Amino acid sequence: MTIRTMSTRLGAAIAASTLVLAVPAVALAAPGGTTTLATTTPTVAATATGTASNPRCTPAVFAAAQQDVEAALASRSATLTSLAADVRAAGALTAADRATITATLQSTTAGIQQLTAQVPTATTCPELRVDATSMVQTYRVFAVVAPQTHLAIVADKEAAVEALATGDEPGIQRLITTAQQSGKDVAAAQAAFADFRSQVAAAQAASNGVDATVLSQTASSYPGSSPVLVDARNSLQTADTDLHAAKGDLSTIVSALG
Amino acid sequence: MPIRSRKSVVAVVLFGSGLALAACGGSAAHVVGSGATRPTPVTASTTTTVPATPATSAPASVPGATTTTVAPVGTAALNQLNTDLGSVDDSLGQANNDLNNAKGDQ
Repeated sequence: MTIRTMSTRLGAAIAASTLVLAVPAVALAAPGGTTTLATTTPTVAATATGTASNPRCTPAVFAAAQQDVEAALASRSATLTSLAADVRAAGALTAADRATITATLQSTTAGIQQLTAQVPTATTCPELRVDATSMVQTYRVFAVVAPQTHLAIVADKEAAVEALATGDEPGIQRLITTAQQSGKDVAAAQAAFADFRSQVAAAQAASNGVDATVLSQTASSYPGSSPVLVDARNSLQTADTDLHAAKGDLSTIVSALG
Repeated sequence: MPIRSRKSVVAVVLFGSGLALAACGGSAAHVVGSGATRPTPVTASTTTTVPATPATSAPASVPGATTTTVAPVGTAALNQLNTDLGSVDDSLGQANNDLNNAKGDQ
């Protein structure tokens, strides 16, 4: 094989790859050369404002667009399966929160499964657009369901840790008192214990009610749900930081009394 | 039974009691429990419900054990807190990931 032949074949291969990649890209492109917010959003998905982006879905690219929507549905199904597993594994979830999340996951999964069966039967762009729009706007798997599930799990785990820590406080105080009565200098332990209580109380204040807030969000809450979920995350992060500080205090107490 | 054998039995019994107390000391619930009903723990390893006992009561039955049980008890509670917070951090990381990758719905 000559160098020229090899170059020709290489050029053809590159051209073919570009063509394959270009088909979905064309299908995803919004009219007028504007860029949609999410490159993973299927051909006929809605924009962040809830208005259909009216992308190009022509008979020439219909098959690629259809496959794109099917892939987007499969991705959502996988996410829902993973969320259900996370809920099953989350022993700290309250019964009420578990019931709420389970109901949401079940109804969302049923809807996505229905679309998964429906999309392959679509034969026109308008049909495909209706299904894709429903996939995004009706269920909001990524924007609402996933974050609200994980945030509720975090909130309930933190509540459980806070309750355990609060329940431990009398026992910790007894340990300090016992050590003091035996002649040990407990000043450092007592100071750490005071901060321990303060940190646990701060964590409780930060995380209290967050589970109810995040679980009250629905797909129809979007886009207003986004700042609510971000605020919830920030509160839970604050509580997490407080609890880590409390852990540091307990470590100090153990060292001081050991 | 010869006197020597009886002494051996007593020694074994006392040793066994010590082991039992040490095992109890491994539970954070036992060590610092206040007697109130404890909430559902975060991790599966803490789901066993153990009747709460004041920290000073166990050492009282084993002379000389008071000063040696404080650290293991505190360490157990600390380890439990460490494990639970690790679980919290994992879930918080998942939530952060969700919020950072929600554009597929936009």
